[in-house]
Amino acid sequence: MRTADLELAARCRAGDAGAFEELYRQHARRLFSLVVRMIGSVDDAEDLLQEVFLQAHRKLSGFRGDSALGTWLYRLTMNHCLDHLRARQVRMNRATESLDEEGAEEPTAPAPVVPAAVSRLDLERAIEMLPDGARAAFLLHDVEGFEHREIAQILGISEGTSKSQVHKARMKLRRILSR
Amino acid sequence: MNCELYDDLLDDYVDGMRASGHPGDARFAAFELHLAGCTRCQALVADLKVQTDAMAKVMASDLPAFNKEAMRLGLTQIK
Repeated sequence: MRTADLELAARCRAGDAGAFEELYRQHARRLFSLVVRMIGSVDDAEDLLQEVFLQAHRKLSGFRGDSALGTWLYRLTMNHCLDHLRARQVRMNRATESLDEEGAEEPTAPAPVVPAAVSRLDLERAIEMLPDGARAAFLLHDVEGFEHREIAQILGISEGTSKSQVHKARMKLRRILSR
Repeated sequence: MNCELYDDLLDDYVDGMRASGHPGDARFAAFELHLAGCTRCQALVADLKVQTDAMAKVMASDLPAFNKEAMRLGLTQIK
C-alpha cells in the first residue's frame, strides 16, 4: 500500500499526467462529498477541490509516505476547508451560534427523542449547524469511517481531541434532531 | 445515577453496537449494569444508535452529485 503510494507520488512528481489523473480518479469523488458536507455549497466545493488538487500537485515533492497518500490528501483537503470556513466567517463577521457554547446542557428527557427515521436532508441541515472542528472530526469518523488515530493525523490533533469532538458533535446533533 | 462516570464510554459503546451488534469488551460491563437501570443513558444510547445508523446508511450511500466537467477542468489545469 505504502509502496504503491510512493510509486504513484514519484510518477506524479516526474510529470506523468496519467499518474496524477489516477490519483484524482481514486480520491476526488469521496473528497468532493466531504468538502460539500464541510462547507455546505456544491459550487464552492468544486472550486475548493480544484485548489486542493493543484496544491497537492505542488506539494507532492514533500510526500514522504509517513501516512497513506489518501490520508495525506484528506489532510490537505480538511486544511483547505477549515481555512475557507475561517475566511468566510471573517467576511461575514458572524456571531458564533449559541450551539457552539461549551458545556451546553444535554436533553434531560428520559425517553429517546431523535425520530426513528431521520432523512438525509435533516441530517445535512443538522451537520451544517455543527462547529467547524466538531463537524470535521464527525464527518471523518461517522461518515468517512476513519479511526480516531487517522483523524488525529488528518486534522493535526490528538486522538483524545478527536474523540471528544466526535462526542460533542453527536450530542449537538441529538439536540438539533430532537427539536 | 453517576451517569457522568460513563460519558467517555458512551461513544465506544454505540460504535461497538454498530460494528458487532453488541460490545463484548469487559470494560463495558459496569456501564451495562448502569444502563439497565438508567433511563437517561438508555435514551442516549437509543438516540445515538439511530443517528449513527442513519449516518452510515443515508450519508454514505447518497453522495452529492459530482460535476465531471469540473473534474476535467481540474485535470486540464494540472496538465
